[in-house]
Amino acid sequence: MKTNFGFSSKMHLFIIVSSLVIAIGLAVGIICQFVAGGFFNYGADWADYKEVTITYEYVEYGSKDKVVEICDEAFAAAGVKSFAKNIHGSTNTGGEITYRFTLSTKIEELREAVTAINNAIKAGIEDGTLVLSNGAAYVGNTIKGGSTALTRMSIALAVVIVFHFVYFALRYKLSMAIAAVIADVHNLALFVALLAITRVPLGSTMFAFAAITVVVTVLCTCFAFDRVRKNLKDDSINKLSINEQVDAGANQNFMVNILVPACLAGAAVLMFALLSISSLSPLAVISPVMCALVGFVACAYGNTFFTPAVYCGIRSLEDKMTTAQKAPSKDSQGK
Amino acid sequence: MGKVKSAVITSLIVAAVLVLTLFATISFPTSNVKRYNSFISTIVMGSELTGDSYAVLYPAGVISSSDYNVVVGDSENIEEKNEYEGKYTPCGGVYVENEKLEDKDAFKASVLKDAEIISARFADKGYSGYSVTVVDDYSIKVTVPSNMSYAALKEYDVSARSAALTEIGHAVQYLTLEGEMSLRDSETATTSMLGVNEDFSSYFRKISMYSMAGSHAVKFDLTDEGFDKLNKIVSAGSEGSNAYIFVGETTLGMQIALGTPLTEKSMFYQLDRAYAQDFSILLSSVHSGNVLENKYNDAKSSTEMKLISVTPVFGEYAAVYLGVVVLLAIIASVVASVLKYKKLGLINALTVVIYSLAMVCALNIIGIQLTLAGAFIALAGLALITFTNFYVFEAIRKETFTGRTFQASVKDGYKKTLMSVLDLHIVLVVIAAMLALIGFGELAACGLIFFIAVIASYTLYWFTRFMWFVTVSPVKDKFGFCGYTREVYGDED
Repeated sequence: MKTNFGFSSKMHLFIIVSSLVIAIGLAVGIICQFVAGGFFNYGADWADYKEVTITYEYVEYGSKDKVVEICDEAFAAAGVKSFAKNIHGSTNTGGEITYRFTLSTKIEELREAVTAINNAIKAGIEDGTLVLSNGAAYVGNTIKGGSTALTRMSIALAVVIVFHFVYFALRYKLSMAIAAVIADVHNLALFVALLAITRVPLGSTMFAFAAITVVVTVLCTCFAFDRVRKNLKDDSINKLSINEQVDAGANQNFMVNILVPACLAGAAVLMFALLSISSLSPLAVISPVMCALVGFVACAYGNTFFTPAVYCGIRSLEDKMTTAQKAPSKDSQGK
Repeated sequence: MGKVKSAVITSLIVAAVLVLTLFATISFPTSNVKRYNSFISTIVMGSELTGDSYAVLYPAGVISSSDYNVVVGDSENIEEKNEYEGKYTPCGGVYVENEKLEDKDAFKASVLKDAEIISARFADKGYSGYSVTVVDDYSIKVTVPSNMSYAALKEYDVSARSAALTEIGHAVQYLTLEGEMSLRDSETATTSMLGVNEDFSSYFRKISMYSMAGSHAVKFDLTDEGFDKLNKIVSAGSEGSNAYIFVGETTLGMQIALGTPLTEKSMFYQLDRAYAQDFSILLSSVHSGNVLENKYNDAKSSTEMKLISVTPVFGEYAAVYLGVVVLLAIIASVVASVLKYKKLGLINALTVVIYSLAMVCALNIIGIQLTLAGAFIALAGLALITFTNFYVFEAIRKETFTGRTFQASVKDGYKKTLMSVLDLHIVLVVIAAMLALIGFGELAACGLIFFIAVIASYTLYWFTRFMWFVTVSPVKDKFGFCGYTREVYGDED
């Protein structure tokens, strides 16, 4: 597919759009840091929660389902809804049934449900259906782990970006190296900002997706700047203005820049659909899948629109500096 | 290359790929009691795919409501019932000894501090996702990935399941040990061999895990002063006897032979990988001054620890659904390449299948934990290999427009794209290595997966060239084979 977009002429528009999204993301994050308990919406393995655990022992076959039935009825009567349920154990060794609720669920309502569960189980024990069982409600405050992972990810990504710059400066051109680094930082900032805005529940998996965002950016910049490098050797393209040269390269690479993240984003959407069926709850899978989707959207926009436009600006600046450096030397030769 | 030679090579390669695909994907029973588990079903997966395991830690003086109700609900044992009712007070969902509640805030603070230390210890395990939660202020819940494969989760591989659970059990047991390091003269000794005010952990500069060629050890680096002091103790001991390293009241089974003076300032204790990791994390934490204040899950004074397995958040069949997504991505790549490049697309399809098999084998052999992020990075590798091939195919298509012969176009196309492909793979392989070496936990796993993906991609780039040569040689309409249209010049009519 051939495209003919004028990327270079819209540099200011793309910079404004990106700056706005990043600024809104930072503002939302900072406000939420003070009013909602965190820059991001911490969920998954970092979420605080309320929980009801029903311990059972030596329940007859089929009675486990009865306990679950009693619990479900009690929670429905108390007007509370769990977001995760786990049934563990066997009928001969006993086990636990755990219902997890969001932190905003009132503990009084949970305790009311627990009392109802314990009373119903007591009746079950008396009539011989159940042997022994006990329910209790808890409040869990999760320690926000991940400081080691965050530190190591920051160092790793910093080293990756520096290497990206150095390799491009040596093998391509300095202007391309600068644009590549800007692309890395831009896409990463966009990823962070979009996560802060969308309030997707985040856990430690976001570190890996941040790195994937950078990896996809590097992959796309390699294809993109290789095309630009080749075009510089092509006389028919070299005759064009800088804007036209960059636009030609960006249009030639349009499909790669769009397709790589789009294919991965498509896989993320498909994963969301299938895993929602598997878990019977879209909420349970939203965290990693949205992380992936946000990362690939940031890559698609950044690599296709923002980076070529910014590279055009850098090339213009580079040309101006080269012309300015040549001008005094010509003057001195004239004298 | 002749038709026969080309057919034989192609058939051999396709047959090898088919056989490997069968072993990699299909599990089957080999007898009434034995079962062959495919490579793909034995890949270790993250918590979202194969679930978590958790344990609730009750400090001394705290018991679960279940344990309380067992005693209080037992109408026959009135004496014990009265004792419990007088001794414990309900605090949320747990029961706390009244004595502990005399300075309630200090006790709560000590549990919170312990939870932070335990969280830091588990962070060093490099789990893809774990959580440490303070439950009702007086107990701690530790949740870690079950580290199981699909076969282990579904109990097709019972030994792998029990090994995974045992490893987690040991991790929870050792990483929640309270107390300081000490050196004792027997495994049952209750007092330290050192002076009353001596701190054994001050003898060491660093305690870490050491791995070399598949062997693992806990490495103790002694300070100069520590070396001298320990040497005095060791030399004073009688030959044939040992000193034992303890944390709190628990021996770790690591011994120092007495009677023979130390010669090196580093001591190594070779252990299984899991033990070496757990002990080094525990000892390093204690060495850094992060000592737990409370004793957890002591059956005498609190509730005994139980390890509970949790169903995967994404559902019991999440791994199957993930496999379906990956399979659809592979099919999409195959269909796109066949539509665009006709029979040449089949070579790309073969390359994509080999890449997928290589990833499955690598994940299996190296034992990398596959998470959702890992699956995405493997898909990024699939995109890399497909787009690299398409990039070369397009370069060759351009060459054919110049009116060159087919062979010359392929040769020039590969020649002109070689440096670009090399640059791409060098940048990506170095970046993947950096993520694997510097990153941590899931990020490091993703780095390693991508490292393998990039190496596979570059190797398969040359494999594509080889297969192209093998399959196209006997074909008469070479341009048609590749879906290229040959430029027809006026003078050729």
